[in-house]
Amino acid sequence: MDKLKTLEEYDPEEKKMLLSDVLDRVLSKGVTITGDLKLGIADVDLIYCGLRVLLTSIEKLEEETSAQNKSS
Amino acid sequence: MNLYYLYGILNSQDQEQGISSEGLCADFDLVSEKEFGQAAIEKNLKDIAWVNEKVLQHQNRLSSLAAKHNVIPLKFGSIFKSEEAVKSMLSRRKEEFSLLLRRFEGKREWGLKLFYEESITKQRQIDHSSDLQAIDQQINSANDGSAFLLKKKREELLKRLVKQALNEVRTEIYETITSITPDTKVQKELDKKLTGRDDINLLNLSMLASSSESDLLKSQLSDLADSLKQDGIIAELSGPWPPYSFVENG
Repeated sequence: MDKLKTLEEYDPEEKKMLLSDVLDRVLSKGVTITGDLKLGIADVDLIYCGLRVLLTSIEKLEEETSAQNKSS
Repeated sequence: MNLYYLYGILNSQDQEQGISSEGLCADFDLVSEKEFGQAAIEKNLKDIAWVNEKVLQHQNRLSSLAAKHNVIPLKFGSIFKSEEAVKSMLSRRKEEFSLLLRRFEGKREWGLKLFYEESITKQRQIDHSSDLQAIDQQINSANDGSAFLLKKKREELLKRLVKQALNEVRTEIYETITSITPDTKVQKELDKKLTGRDDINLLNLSMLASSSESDLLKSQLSDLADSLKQDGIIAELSGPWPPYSFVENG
């Protein structure tokens, strides 16, 4: 496992696992540089928290859709 | 107008394309203001598909840089309007970046996460604790009033045993890992909402490892994962990552 696979190369279970690792690192870690855009640490932290909620909603949606597909 | 989106900082001798100053080089892409300008990015950040795509792109770029060179990974969204502004940032933070690059020489980051499933951990205690089994026997032969109290006592004991067992695993794994890679950081456990998993994140470690330490981690962890699995605990090793987790307070 020398190079990380891109998201397309993973199966759905792996994808979920990888995505949370990537989001955790890219959005909450790494050197913080204040550039010319007012996208400070606080904002990225906010996105990160917002993402958790969003991911859950998407998750639910997917579950509901697959449940509907099964029952129909 | 184009903007400068920065991915990472390298030694200038390792990277020729990029914005260089003071022996450091910032790896960047030109991005359009329509997508990354202040108003646009605020809107786009609410779009989870956009964020996922850009975050993965950020990771892939850094990952391929880190495969060849020593690189300091930047957090998502380091955006500048001019080359001059990037250069002035590089000279302002020259010492900090040089120190980090020296620290990262020949090292890669790995992640280890442990997950447990509450019902399995509980069941293991129920199967193995003679104290719990003794209370169960007492409950069977008790009248309603004392059975109620005994059940409460049983709940508390079970809770304590589970906590204790999990703590033991956490300590044991932490000690094993730090004996291989002394440069290990305990990270905040990931929320269930972020992992999208049913089981619970028990331990989240980041390790900064040399290549021989990386080999040891990989070989020892596969044995360790097998033995943890018997206790209903899942161990996942991820990496190699650019050293995201070792940049602050480093």
